[in-house]
Amino acid sequence: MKFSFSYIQKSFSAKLSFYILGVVGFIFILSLLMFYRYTYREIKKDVHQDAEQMLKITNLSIEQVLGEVEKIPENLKTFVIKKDISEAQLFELTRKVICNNKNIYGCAIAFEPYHFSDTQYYFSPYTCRFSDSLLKSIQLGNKDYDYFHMDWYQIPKLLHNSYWSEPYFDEGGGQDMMTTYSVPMYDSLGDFIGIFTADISLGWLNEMVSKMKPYDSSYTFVIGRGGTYIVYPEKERILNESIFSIAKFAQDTMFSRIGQRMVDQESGFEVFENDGEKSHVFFAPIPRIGWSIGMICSNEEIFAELYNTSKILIFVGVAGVLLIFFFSLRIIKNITDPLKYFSLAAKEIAHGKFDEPLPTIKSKDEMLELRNSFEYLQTKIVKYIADLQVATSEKARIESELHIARDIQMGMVPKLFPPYPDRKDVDIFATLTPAREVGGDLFDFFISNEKLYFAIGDVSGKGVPASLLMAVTHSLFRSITLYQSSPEIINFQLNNAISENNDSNMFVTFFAGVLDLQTGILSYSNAGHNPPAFITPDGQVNFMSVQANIPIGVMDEFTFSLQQMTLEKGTTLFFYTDGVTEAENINQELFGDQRLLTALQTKFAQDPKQLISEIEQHIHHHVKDNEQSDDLTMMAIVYRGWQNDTNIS
Amino acid sequence: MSQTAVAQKIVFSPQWTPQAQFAGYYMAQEKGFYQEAGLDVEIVHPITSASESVYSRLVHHESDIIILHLMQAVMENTPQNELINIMQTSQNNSLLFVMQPEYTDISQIDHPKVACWKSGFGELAKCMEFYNNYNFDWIYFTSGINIFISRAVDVIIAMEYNEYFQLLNCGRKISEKNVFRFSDKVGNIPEDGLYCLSSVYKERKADFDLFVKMSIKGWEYARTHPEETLEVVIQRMKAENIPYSSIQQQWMLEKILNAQIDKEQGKATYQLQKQDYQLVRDILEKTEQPFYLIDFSQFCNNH
Repeated sequence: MKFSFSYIQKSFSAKLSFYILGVVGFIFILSLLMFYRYTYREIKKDVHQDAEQMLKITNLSIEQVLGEVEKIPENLKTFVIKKDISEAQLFELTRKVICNNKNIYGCAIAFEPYHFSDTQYYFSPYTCRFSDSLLKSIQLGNKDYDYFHMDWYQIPKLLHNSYWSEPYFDEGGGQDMMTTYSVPMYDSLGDFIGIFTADISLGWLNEMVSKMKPYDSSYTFVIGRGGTYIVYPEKERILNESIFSIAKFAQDTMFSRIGQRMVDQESGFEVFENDGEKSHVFFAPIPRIGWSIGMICSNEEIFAELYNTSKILIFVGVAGVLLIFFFSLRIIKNITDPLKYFSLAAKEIAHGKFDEPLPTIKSKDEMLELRNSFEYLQTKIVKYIADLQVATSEKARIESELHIARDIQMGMVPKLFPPYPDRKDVDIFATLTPAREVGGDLFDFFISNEKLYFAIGDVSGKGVPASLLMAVTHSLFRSITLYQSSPEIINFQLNNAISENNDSNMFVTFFAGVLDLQTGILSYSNAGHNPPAFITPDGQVNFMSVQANIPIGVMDEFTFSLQQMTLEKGTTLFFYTDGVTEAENINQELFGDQRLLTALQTKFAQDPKQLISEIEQHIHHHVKDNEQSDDLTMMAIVYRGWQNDTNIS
Repeated sequence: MSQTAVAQKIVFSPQWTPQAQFAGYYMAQEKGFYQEAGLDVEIVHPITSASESVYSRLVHHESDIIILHLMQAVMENTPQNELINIMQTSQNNSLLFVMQPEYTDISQIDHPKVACWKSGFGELAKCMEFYNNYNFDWIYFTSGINIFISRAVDVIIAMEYNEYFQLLNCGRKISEKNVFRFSDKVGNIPEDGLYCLSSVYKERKADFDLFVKMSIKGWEYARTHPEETLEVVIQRMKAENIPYSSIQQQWMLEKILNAQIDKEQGKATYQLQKQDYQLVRDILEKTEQPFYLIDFSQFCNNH
């Protein structure tokens, strides 16, 4: 079985199984996300608490060390302020400070110029550790060590407050990073007299801070008041780079923000990209000294357990979902298997094999109902097909008869054109296009005794009834014109004949005319038909002056009027039924009289066939694709006039 | 100079500890330009903790050639120790006053504590104080920006290529609005130039001219090889146990090379312009500062 897209499209069981797979998969993903989110939050909370605790404990230890150091110069400065203290006693004091305090590396008591002695511009007894057991005492100030302008001396002096210096690298005996605690001293008058200092090595800080390592790759760092690294795993950065210069170099605004928060002595955490790895940085200030301690842990490690558990869950979940999919596919396939046989049976039925056996259904469920319905369908189809066969043969017979009727009807009207090829005085062309198989329009003409008898008519209604009345009307016209040559009499007699026994109340609009081909005198009588048009030799188009009278068959004994007009040579008469002027387009706009008159203004007025073809094109252009709704009949007679012997070639 | 001749010893002292500000001289030495010219150049940097400036080394004949700011040189010049400018690297002024973030103008601060390097370079600032009738409390310090970070002073003097970088990157929310640029507000007075005693120059003109020529070559090398130059600068800083930031030194090298471009000529000329010397004299006269008045042709050898 191949799970192609087309198979899923075609297979009900596969489609349903995929829906199940989708729902179960969605629930699984949702559950996994909820689990992940909840656990992530819990781990994050725990890690934050642990980090906060760790930073707090480390801070306490740092504060303790710094606090102990701070006490010494703060307490001992009172001895120094005494006026009677000697130079030797001051040196001894600095030595005792070192000996009694293992954390202190150096101690200086630096005085203002000429304060201690009128002859000594620089005076600063200083003792420091020289080696593990030896101490070195010197007078610190001289022209190469102008301490008055150094930070450790000048800043506390200006601030009038004790001050922890920014760390510096000691190039003397310490060979280590140091910081100095400076306490300003004032005499009894409140005048500044100098600075009492205690230097401590920061090796212990590095050691203490580096112990904070909750994860293998996590690390800690300390930055000074200006963001300079004091403790950092890469020694190259210590005292050289600041957190801000690194952030600037990396164009990392988040790292810069972290530095800003740290130098602002805030505590908290931030998430940032550390060398392309998403990491947490936890930080807390060391308020006593104005520095800040930070701890960086990669998310990969913090959430390692969560990631692993999630991976297992995803594996189990995907396997479970696939298992559900497999079993649901099998079960649904078993249930829906008969559908395949129904499908085959339906195909066979479609091919005419209505007695195709259906699958046996043992269950009492919807599948059995489907089988019963199928069986009922088979029976019904057999009956329907039989009925359809009868109806189809009946329809074919009627269509055949109608076709014959059409041929008969078309055979009644003249169909040979030109009808009088030998005559030069008259030319005629006509068309009849029924809207259905047979229609109710008619036209006719013939020449007798140099007179052209013609008629055009339109039976009310359409189809077979209209065609029958058309045939009757046509036959009567021919019969009456055998002995009557006056159009109003022809109409009168035709009307009486049709009106008699006209139970179906049908009528015919009819126009009968007799053209004396020698004189050009046209006699005509109208029975409710559309007024014909005529085109004078110079191309003027007009409707003929026609009295309407009433249509044939409406009322017997009606007296029709006779009208006459004399045709100039070259006059064209155009007769038509209402199928022309009432031809509609899809917007239900009629072709109308005006369009007809416009269409008749053509250069083909002297060629009846071309003229009718032109009018047809105009009608088609107007109607476009709209269905023909009425019979369409047109007849054009071109009178060229009597020319003595030349009429018949 | 023949190959067999004894190399002429020149002790050269920049006015500060090793940094990218002096990169051209390091490169001239490192690439052997001085040696090729038959010079034995020793670069002796001053000690920041010392009370005496590099000028004292010159007058005590401990150094043959030193770097001084133009204004410093004009003010230090005396008939007894007449100075001569033999080369002018800087063509622009980089001096700044940087105020604490809450200030945008010095006039906002009453009797401001202004930190200035003890070793000098504050002459222009003092002229400005006098001219504007300010009353600064000058606090002299050795180096760094801790005195400012600790808020012991209201204003610190800074070089754009050096301390300004540190101030922008120390988390103190310093921005351009807290800066007073002397080049814009007082005058674009060039800074670093090479000086020696006129008397010594007369005796050793050939050696010193060669030193200048090779130093220019060194600067041009630094301009075209910034990465290599930066490495050399860092090595020199490491050798003297001076804290360094390679990022800051990169900034400094760029700024220093930029400050060497004469704005009118669009290139480094390495020569002092007469109008710049005149500008210094005008400022000193206006601010009633005493100085030894000599002609430009006497003060500078590039006429």
